[in-house]
Amino acid sequence: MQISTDRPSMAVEIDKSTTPEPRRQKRPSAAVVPQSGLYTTLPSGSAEPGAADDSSAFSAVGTPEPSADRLRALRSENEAAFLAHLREGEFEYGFKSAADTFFERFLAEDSLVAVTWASCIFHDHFGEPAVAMAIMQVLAHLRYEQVRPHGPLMALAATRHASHEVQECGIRAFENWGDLASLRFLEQTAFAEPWLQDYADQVRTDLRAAIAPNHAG
Amino acid sequence: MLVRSFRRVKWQACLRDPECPVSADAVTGDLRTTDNALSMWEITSFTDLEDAALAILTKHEKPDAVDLIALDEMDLTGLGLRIKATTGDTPVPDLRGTHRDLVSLTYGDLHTVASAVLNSMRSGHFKRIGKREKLRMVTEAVRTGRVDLTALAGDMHALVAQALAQL
Repeated sequence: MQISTDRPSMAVEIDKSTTPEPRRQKRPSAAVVPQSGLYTTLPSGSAEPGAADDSSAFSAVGTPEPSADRLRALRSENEAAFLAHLREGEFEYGFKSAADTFFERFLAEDSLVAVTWASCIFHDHFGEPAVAMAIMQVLAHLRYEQVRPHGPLMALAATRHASHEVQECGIRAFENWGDLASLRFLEQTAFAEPWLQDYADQVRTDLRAAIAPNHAG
Repeated sequence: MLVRSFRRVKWQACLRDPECPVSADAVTGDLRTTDNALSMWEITSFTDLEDAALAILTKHEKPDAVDLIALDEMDLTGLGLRIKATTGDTPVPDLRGTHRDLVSLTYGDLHTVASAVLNSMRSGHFKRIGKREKLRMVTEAVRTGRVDLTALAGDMHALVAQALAQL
């Protein structure tokens, strides 16, 4: 094997495999922002504010329902910019994305409204794999307590998507959240694609070892 | 062998169907060049993958799982690609000398590299490092003094510090 060393020997190279390119400022796309209704593609009878929070299995959340007005304002004023980040931003596993940074501001203001907003986007753009993947990658970088109940339900929906990439994002989210609820969700899912099933099995094994050592093995 | 991170899901479909064209996303995302160079980490054999993994993972801010692919150096040079030794940007001092660049790459060379990626996948020379294994590897490297904790960034710094405190 020939390795050329004609470059100055101590020149420090940037590792392209591990260092993301500088994030380019993206021009917001001309996204259509729903102005009425939180879940614009649902039948009208299902579009009541707070409908997405009707998850008695997660009654321990213990926080008030998100303000419909605040959520509408959030969508109206910021959704085009967020969608631009989700569609056009760079996502590299292991690194914080511009979409992560963008979403953090809203999360700090009101996490439940912010995550409900994320679930609205996921719902409305489920047929757009790039957006579904991107929003899952943003939520996967948060703590389980911050994203429940919407986050795990979105991840579960992601695992049912036709796209293997979206399915993988669902597993990755459960892996990152890494809690007992994530393990329970993963234990009830199965994948037709063998390598995704292998990945889910590995995550289940890891979660059992980390969270419930008595069930490991 | 030369190792870099990639996204298995972007390449997987081509494993079963040799006629399946490699997606543009796979090439533009996983074979993204700077100054016509592609960053790699050299290992002696696939069993040493953890060294290259450590060089890569210690730069990460998030604990996301990552896929690594190991390409055969001889195959690459045999196909006319040039490899140059350069100092790697990694918090692991003893691995900085193992960094290599595929240099002077052209559009046509990327097709060659893409074929090499698929060949390596068919040979089983790839691995997913899950969150748990990733944290284990980096925590162990810090514990043994191979990496300075302060060199880790973002959530990885906090997670490894937490893991060390629990040892």
